[in-house]
Amino acid sequence: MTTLTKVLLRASNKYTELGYNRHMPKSYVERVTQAVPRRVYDNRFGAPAITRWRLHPDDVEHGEFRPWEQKAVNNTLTKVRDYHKHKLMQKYHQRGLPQQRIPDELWTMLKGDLVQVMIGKDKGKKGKIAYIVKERNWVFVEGLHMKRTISDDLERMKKMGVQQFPSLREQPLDVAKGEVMLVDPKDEQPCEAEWVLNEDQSDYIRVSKESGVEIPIPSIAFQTYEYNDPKTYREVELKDTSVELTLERTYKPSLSTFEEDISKEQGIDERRTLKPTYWY
Amino acid sequence: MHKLHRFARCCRQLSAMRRVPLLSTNEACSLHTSAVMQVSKGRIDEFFDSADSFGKNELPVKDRPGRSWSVAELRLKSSSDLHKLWYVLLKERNMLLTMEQAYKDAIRVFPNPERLDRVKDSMDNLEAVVRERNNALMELEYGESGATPTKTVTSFMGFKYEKELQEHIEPPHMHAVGKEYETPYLDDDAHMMQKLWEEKEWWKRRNMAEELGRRTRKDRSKIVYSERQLRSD
Amino acid sequence: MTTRLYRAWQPGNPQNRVFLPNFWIKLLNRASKGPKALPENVLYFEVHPQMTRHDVREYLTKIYELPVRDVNTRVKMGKIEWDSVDTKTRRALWKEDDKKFAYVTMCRGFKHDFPNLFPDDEIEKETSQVERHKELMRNLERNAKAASRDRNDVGTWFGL
Repeated sequence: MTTLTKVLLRASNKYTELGYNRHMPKSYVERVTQAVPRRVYDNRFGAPAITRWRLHPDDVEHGEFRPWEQKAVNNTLTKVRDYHKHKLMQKYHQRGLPQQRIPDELWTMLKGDLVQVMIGKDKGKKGKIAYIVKERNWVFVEGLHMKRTISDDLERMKKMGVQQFPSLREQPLDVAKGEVMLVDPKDEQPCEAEWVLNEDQSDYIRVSKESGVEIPIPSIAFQTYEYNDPKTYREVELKDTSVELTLERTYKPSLSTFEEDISKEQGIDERRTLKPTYWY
Repeated sequence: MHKLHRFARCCRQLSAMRRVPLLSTNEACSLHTSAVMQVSKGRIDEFFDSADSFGKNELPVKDRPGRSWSVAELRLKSSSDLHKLWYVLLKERNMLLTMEQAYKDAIRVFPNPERLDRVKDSMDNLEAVVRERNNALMELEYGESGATPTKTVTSFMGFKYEKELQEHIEPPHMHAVGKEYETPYLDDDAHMMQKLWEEKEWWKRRNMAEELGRRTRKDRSKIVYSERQLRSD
Repeated sequence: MTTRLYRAWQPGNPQNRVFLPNFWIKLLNRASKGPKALPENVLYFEVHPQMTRHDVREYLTKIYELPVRDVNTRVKMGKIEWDSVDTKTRRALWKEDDKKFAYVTMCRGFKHDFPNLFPDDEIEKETSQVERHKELMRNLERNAKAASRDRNDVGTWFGL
């Protein structure tokens, strides 16, 4: 993992990428949530291709778990099996609703932010964000808006003979409905925030719409699956390339193709040319 | 993954893959043996991960490889560096595929499968950079990129699509290929097909919109961002 | 222009060269005993379906520097899910992708064992308390049976 230099970060909206799954390849998350095509039937003489999904992206269930965790995977695999069975038996399958998620450019809640709960028993209380589920516009605040619930893996506990005790668990708060709002650092009142360019025009900062004061980004917001703080990341010896080597520029533009460059380097001297052919 | 450190070691003989074998099998065997009849194992160990990772459900944080190469980072590198990196990534991919299959056969969890996707992303980005550079040169020198030539064809059902041309050694008059026009007059069947298709697609969109409205009204939830419609596929 | 297209070859054309091969190869574990066992110097791979045996040989010789003597390939057709209800025509409903396997014979003297990926399992089995308990019970049962071998399963409550 490399820390990007200032040159690469200039005036680009990198704040949209902030999140725990930031460095997880999108294809991996799709594969794990099974939101990938099982087969694409193409070559239909111009008619649009038919996609047969493993699990349609609208049917994917997002919740208080990372997509690659075992709990999520088990849930989706049963859905995938049912969907395939329904299709083979030509039965009707009701699709889920598309996700009405807030676009990344307008998302202002980050992990570790001070927010105020606007509904329920803890209305008016302030707390820090512990967990975010962007796909459902959910935010879990530490220690607030809790409910007495029994843990999810009931069957496993029963098998092991462990008695079920209800515990307090945080419930999700919807940002789109205004159930939770950021706290303005000036007057400590709930406010809405937006991303604007700073004075140098070099980076984006969060600014409260009411007072215009900057809301600083907490350091834990940069936490990902790989590291808690990008500065503390240690490169893996035989797998990662160091920052210096990665950003070292060795490219010299020249009037030769990639293949010609490599042939020259390897000492392949090919004088023969392709004979003319017809394309139809 | 960034793996430039293994340049010198891995890339001595990475030239073209020939279609005709260079040596007969017996001659090839004699190259690999010494006077003591010891056959080298070559680089077969590069098919496997380090023994520390065996039997684990998830690698410890200090052993997890980093993110993939981005296009911006790859654009800084020369052709030679990119060529070497390609083979480092290729071998890593083979190693991960081997390990994944071994864990699958033993019905165990393969640790950190996102490594495969990261290597694939790096390789795709590398190929994109190489194509970008070659296209730029071709367009400068010849006015066209060396991509496979295509033509727009209208099928018998009335749909237009981009068809890739095939390379032939004989000229076209020697092959009986039916005439394909870009925008021909559609016959009755094709004309009706197009009209009915458009109608069907319109009804699909209309039904999906109604379905969305029906289900959201039932939910009584406030729709804040309703740009997306239910897809009809 | 970098292309993945194989160009039409005519006598006098330059050699077809691949600079960035997209082929993958997986080394598979093979049985050490039984009818499916292979000789010591034969390795079993799953390869990209478009690879020929010549491609496999060049790939292993140049990239992995293995002493390849011979390559044999085999294509395995993917599983087909048949319509179980429609018994007359029995249409095919779903087919998985085909796979290609390569049996690569190395030069004489080559030997390679697939590493054991789960060494902890064996240690756990050996020292597991459950296993030891099971072994103990088995021994007791064996002793009891031997002692009462002339008693026709009467049991130990009656008699001596």
